[in-house]
Amino acid sequence: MESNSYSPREALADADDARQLLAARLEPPRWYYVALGGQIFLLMVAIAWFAAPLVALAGSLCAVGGSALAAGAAKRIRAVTRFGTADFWAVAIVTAVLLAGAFCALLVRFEELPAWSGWLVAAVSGVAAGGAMVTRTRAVARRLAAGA
Amino acid sequence: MRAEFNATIHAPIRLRACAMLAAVKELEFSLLRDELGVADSVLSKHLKVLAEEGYVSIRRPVGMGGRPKTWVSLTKAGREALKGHLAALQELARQAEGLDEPGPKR
Repeated sequence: MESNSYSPREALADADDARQLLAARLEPPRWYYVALGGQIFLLMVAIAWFAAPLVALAGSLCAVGGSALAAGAAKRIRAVTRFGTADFWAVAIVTAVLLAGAFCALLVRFEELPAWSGWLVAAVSGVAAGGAMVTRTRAVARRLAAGA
Repeated sequence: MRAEFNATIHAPIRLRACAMLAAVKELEFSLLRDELGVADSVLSKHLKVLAEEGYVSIRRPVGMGGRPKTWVSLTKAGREALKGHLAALQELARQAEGLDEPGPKR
């Protein structure tokens, strides 16, 4: 039988390794946070500097690039159901909010919208992005705690 | 929870699969296969053994578009059996440590 020479210590170590391997997989790569953080930062800068369309444009591009990276991470994480699906939607919502924010910054710049709307969008973007990241981190913690 | 050695779970691949499944609600078959580093057929065989004992549940949802994926999850009975088995292993490991210790010198 295959388990005859499988000692209790080896088995315990194997079970622990397997759990840790999956835990490492559940945890998104660091650049996931860097991408999201970069998007938020540049968007804030773009919105705060209403008179700088290039910065607003850079914010938009960063949002698109960062979102693509984040979506890649989400796709990887999606192999773990429910939690992963929620993560996917969190990324999608944050991306939509950030892109809308960057667009609003441009509208404000060209005086299609009043200046206060820029700050409102900045606040909504920040809360949405921050909320999604906190929710996501808590989901990871909960999953790992449930398996501990 | 009762510490009980479980021969079905104790097989190395099944034990590692159960340990991974215990950390999540569900895992996609291909991810489990890749993490375990085994072939599809090998994993299928082991999951079948676990499913027959009622330790894992395998579902293949349809109607979502794209290629249907197979999701594997540990059942309540499976979680209990794994916990009991790990507790039994810890007990055995402790006993083995006791045996390893040198006795008093004469």
